[in-house]
Amino acid sequence: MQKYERLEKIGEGTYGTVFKAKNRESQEIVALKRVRLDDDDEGVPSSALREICLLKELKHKNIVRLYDVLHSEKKLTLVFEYCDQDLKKYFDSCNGEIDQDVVKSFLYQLLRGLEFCHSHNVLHRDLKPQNLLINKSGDLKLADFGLARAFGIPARCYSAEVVTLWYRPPDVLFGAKLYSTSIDMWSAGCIFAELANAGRPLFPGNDVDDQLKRIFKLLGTPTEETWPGMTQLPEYKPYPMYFVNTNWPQVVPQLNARGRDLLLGLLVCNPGRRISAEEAMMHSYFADLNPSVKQG
Amino acid sequence: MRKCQGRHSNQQLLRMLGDALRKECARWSTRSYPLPSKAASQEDVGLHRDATVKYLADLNEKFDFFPETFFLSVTILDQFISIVKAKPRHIKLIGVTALYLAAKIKEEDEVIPGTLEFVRVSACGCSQAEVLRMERCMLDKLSWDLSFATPLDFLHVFHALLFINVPHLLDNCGHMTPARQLTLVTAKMERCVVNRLSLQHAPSTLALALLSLELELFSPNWLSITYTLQKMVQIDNDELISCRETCAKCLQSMARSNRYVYASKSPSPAAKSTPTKRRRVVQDDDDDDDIYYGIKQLYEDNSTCSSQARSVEEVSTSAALRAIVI
Repeated sequence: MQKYERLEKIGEGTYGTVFKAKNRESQEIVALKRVRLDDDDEGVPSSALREICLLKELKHKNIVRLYDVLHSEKKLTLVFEYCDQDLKKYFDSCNGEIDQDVVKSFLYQLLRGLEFCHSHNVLHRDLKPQNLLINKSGDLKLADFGLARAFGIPARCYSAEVVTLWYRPPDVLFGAKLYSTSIDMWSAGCIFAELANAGRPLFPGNDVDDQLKRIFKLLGTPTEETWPGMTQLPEYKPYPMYFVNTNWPQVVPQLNARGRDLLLGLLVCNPGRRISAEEAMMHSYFADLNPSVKQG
Repeated sequence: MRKCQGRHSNQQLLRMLGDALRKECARWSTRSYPLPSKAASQEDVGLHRDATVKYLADLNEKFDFFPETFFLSVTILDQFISIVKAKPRHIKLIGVTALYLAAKIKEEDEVIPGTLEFVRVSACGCSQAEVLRMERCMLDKLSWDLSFATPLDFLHVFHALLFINVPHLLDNCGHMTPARQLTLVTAKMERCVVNRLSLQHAPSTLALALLSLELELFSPNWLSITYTLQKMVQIDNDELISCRETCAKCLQSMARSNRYVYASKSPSPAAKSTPTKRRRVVQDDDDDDDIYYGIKQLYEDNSTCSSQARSVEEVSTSAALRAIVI
C-alpha cells in the first residue's frame, strides 16, 4: 500500500472497512475499501466482485467512481473517489431541519444516478441513506453496489432477500422474485419522504409483517383490482383492509403539492404502476430546480 | 401507449447493443487453438478446452445456474487461455474456476455454493485451495474485469429487437413462442461454443449467424431480417457466411454426439455401462438435413445435396419447425 497514505477509518461497508487515504503522488484524497481475504474459504466475496464489475461500467457523476483495484496475498483494496459523508450522517447534522431546495437537488441527483444504472441494466437493490454519499459542493452519489446486479433481457427470478427492510417494496416483502427497476424506485420514494422530513424514516418497520402493516396503513391495503397478481406472490398473506384517510400534508409537512404528487407516484404498491426514474426526473416538481443542478 | 413503450425498448436495446459491441471491440480477438487433428495427443490444448467446456455445460445444469453464467465462464476461460500459456492439464482447473467466478457475478448469493461444496459437486479433481489460488491468479491476469460481451448477450439483444419490431413473426408457427425459440437457439449456441472452431468468430457474429440459421427455417423474410441486423452491427458479408458454415459444422458434429446422450437416458444397460465413449448412435439424420439444407442452398453447394434438397422442398415450414423442436 505504498501508493496511498492511510488517514482515518470512515466506516464499515457491507464487506469491508473503509478508510480515508491520500495518494502520495497526486495528493488526491480517496476512500479505500479493504476486504480481507485470509480467513475466507469462499475466495473473493461475490459482493466485491460484482461491485468491481458493475462500477467499472458505470461512470457517472451521480455514481461513486471506482479508481483502482489493488490486491495482495491477504487483502483486496478498492480505491474509490472520496466523499465527505453519507446522507445518514448528513441527516444527523441537520437537527431536524432541511432546506427544501436541498431536498429537491438531492432527489434529482438520486434519480439521475438511478436512471443511469437502470438504462445500463443495473439494479442497485440496496438504496438507503447510508449508501448515498454527499460531498461539500452538494453532489450526491450512489454507492455500495455490493447487492447490485445486472439484469438481462429475458426476465429472470432473482433473490427476494434484497434491500434493507425499511426501503424494501411491498412486492419484494411478499417474496416477489420477478422484479425489475421498480424495486429501486420504491426505495427512492422512501428516501424522498425521509429527505423531506430531514431524516425521519417513513416506514421504520421491525419485521416484514410490521413493515407491510405500516405501508398499508398509510397507502391502503392493495387488492387484486389495484394490483393484479398480488395474491399469487410466494409469501403473500392477507392483511386487514385499513381505513385509510392519510393526510399527506401531515405526513410530509414541508413538501409542496407537486412534491407530494411525485412521492405518491413512487410509493405505489403495484410495481407495474410505479413511476420510472426517467419519468420521475421529468415531473413538474423539478420545474423550478436550480439549473446548475440540472446541468450538473 | 404501446407504441411509445416499444420505442423506448428499442432505444434501450440499441444502447445495450452499443455497450456490448464496445466491449467486444475492446476485448475480443480471434483465438487460435491448434486445429482439430486426428492425431489427438494428450498435450492438445484445444481438445482439453473443448472437453472442459462440455463439462462446464453439464456442471452449469447441475448447479442450476443461468445460461448467462455458462457463457460468461466460457468467455473467461478462453480469454484467460489466450493471455496465459496454460498447460493442458490445468485447463480443467481454469474452467472450473471460471465457472465459479461467473457464478459469483451472474448468480444470486443463495444459489452460489461454498467453495468446498462447489469443488465436491464439480468432481473436478482439484482441491479447494487450488481453485482459490487460481481464482486470484485469473482475476489478476484479467485485471479484475470480468465484464465481457458473450455471444448470448448479443443473441438476447438481437432476439428482443426482432420480436419488438416483428411481433407477428411466429404467428403461423404453431406452438412456438419467442421464449421457446430463444431457449432452442441458446441450446444450439451452447453446442457451438463447445467447439473451439467457433472462436474464430466474434460473439456478435456468432449470435447473428445462429439466429439467421434459425430464422431461415420458418420465415421467408429471413434474409432481409438478417441483413437488417447485419447492417446494424456492421458484420462483413463473407464473415457472416463463414460463421454460418462454422455453426452448421459445430451443430452437425454435436447433433451426432448428442444422439448418444439421448440414448443413454433410456434404460439400456449397455449404454450406461460405457458412459465415457461418446460414440454416435446410428440414427437417420433427416432433422439435420432440414436444418442445413438452407445453408447449402445459400452457397449453391449443389454437388452434395441436390437429392436431399428435393426431399426437403416438400417439407413445409411447420414441419421444418417441428424438426428443430425435437
